[in-house]
Amino acid sequence: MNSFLKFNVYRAIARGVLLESLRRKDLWVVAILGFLILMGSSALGFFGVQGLQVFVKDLGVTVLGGFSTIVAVITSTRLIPEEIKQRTLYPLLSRPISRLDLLLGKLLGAVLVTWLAFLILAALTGAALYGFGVTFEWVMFQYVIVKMLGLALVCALGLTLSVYMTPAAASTTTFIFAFGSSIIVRGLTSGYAQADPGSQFLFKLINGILPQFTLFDLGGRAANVGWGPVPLWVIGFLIGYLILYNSGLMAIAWTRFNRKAL
Amino acid sequence: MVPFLGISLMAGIGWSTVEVAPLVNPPLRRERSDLGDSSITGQIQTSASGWLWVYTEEYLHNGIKLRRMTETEKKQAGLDDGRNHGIPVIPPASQDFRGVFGDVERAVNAWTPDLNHRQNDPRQSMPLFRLMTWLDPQFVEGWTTGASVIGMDRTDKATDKAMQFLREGLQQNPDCVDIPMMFGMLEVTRRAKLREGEGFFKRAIQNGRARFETLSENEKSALQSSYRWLTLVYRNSGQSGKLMKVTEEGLRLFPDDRVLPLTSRPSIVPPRNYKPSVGIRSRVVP
Repeated sequence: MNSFLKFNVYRAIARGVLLESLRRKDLWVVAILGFLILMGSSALGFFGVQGLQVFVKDLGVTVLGGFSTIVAVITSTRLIPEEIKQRTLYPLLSRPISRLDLLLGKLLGAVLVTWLAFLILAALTGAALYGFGVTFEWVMFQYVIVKMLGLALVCALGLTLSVYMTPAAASTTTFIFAFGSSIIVRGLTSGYAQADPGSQFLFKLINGILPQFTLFDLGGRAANVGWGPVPLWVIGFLIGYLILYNSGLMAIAWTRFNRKAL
Repeated sequence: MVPFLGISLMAGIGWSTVEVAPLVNPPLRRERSDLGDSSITGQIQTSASGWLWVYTEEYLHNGIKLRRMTETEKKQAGLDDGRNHGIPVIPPASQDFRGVFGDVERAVNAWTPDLNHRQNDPRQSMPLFRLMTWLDPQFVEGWTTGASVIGMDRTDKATDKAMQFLREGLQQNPDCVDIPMMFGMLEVTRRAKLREGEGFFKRAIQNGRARFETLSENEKSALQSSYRWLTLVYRNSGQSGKLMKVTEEGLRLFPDDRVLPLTSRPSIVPPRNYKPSVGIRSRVVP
């Protein structure tokens, strides 16, 4: 199958994921969450906006990051198990597509749904911030781009885990890594200093294997004043890391999914 | 239409029956500790205001997340003075085993190796104190620290605003020690009103003595300060009888206090041609 046909396959599967998400009214949840953001913002206005801009920005990026991660996890972890449970996987695989194609198409679909939800929420948050008189800075644009890359990483992890676990277990584990990443990394850096030289390689190994979600969050930099944009090599590194890590995750998922008796 | 009317009626009744709230949900003094209170609403309030309290510190450091130094780190930095010192949560490259991951994390976060980095003006954090005391009106440290921030300018207007803020706090926490103590301090140091200050210190002491056994460390410290301030007020207003009585009473509760006995010494009244150092704009001289 040439690359153009492959692209058509991925696009068709991703479109199916997107339509399914619309049919399930997932984006309604996003709209409700966005409404809550606006309501929360208007409540903050009660205390006077002067001096609160940094706080509002920080709250905005925190809520935005949290809600979009929830959407990413819930969307990505249910795709494969539902196809199996509802027996819709058989007609899909009876077509001339491989199981790897299916996984990649599903990943693309999950990423698209998550990005769509993120952009809706980002637009609402942006409107609320504009209402508070927060001025645009380039680092905010970088925040959006890097966060989208991070959400793609969350989707890949969720999808991979859902091949090995039940949807509930996969969701919980992905949530732990996505929200606890910074705590885990802090624990590793503190533990490394205290560990004996013989066991320090373990810390390096664990740190290398774990998904580095914290690297995809520019919220602290974007919310506070005077930090400026991130150097371009950092963005380049994050894109490279995402491609490599997601490729590794898809390889792990495919190894299992390919041998799975359906 | 009927459900809407029903909800409106319920909202109207709820809105107008504020007198019931103190009976069914009595205000509880909450500390920033692991000791939560039993109601879920209270826990949410405490968590939210506690988060804001922590966030205020982060905000003052322009987004740099800090943690307390360990004893070893304090010794290495020559800061082993028994006090708490902050250090960035993300370590510098020299102490980070993560290589390029560490470099990227430092690049994407608000981070600097300079511990003496520029801090934000505390006055800009005022809305946060407003917010945290609105969320948790029983959070006394929020009221007192907020009042300190408001009154930083040391102008009459700033002092009035700080006192207004404290007044709101005192209405919410009539039995606390810290707020009347802070009130008294402002009366004495900013307005040179010893009599008014005396009243507030007495109230702080009365509140503190009423529940001395259950006072937190912060409240005990405020009670001790109230005794010290009251003795200063009596000394500077020449009420030596009351001075001795209060000193004895304070020392019974805080026998290790080494400052309280010293306050009975006569104050040094500066000569008429005395000019205070730069930055000192007022001095209480009766």
